[in-house]
Amino acid sequence: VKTPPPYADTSAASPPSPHLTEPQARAVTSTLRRLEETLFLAERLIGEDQRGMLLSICGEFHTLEQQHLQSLVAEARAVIASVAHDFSLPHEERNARRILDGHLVQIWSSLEDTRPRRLNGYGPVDAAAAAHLDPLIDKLIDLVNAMRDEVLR
Amino acid sequence: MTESTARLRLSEAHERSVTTALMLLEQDLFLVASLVAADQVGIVVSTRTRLDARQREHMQRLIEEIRAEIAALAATFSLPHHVRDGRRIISGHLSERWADLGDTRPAKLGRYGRLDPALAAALDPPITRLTELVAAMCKEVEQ
Repeated sequence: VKTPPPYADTSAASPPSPHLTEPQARAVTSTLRRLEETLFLAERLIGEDQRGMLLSICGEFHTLEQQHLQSLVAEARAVIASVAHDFSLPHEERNARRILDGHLVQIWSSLEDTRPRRLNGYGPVDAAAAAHLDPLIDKLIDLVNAMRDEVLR
Repeated sequence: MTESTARLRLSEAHERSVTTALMLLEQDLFLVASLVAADQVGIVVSTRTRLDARQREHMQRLIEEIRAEIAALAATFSLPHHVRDGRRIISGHLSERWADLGDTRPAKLGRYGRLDPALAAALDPPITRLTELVAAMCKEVEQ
């Protein structure tokens, strides 16, 4: 039988511990932030396979595995909450629009590199293939730019 | 798709270049879709888009349109589909976190200045427990 985690209660019942120095707090906080980001990613991939047209990311977790992993994720979050409370670690608010824009700019650049005239660097592109490829890449670039306009609004 | 477009083929190098760009695009679309659908609200870090309902709907429409264009490109040029192992991806990230946590143990934090022994005693158990939990997750996903 599993004993309940000793870190689940984050109420202010116990007095806060003495403070870490600024560099120590920064080191602990950045480790816990990276861990939280990983927990978000793991939750996404555990919960559902991501199926695309050219790329799929599959873990094929069965229900028992999902439940066990979710309980581990929940316990890890409870421990993080306990450390954050006890050591007064700061919460950081990230602007997802900037993150999305960064990704979209990289996509835009990568799509520009797949235009037929750029692909010629790998050898001449068949004219018929180029005629079909160019408008499709144009359309994708327009859509990516439309997404950028929306997230930057 | 017409019979003439069905026969269009790119050279191997061209195909690899186009497929890689589109796979990166799809990979980013997974992240975009997830952030558009819901903010990530955590304990020490949160990531919020602050998109209103109209913007979310517009973004979702654009994501669907992009996926339709990728499907058209894949069909026209017979581009190959790739499957990545989600378990390995999770396990890779968790291994990095396990190493991070090792560097956050009180014994290692001493390099950022002397650590109060009472503080070290308070910090060590939760960091140890987090390390154990991460190792347990790694073990589960690698099964």
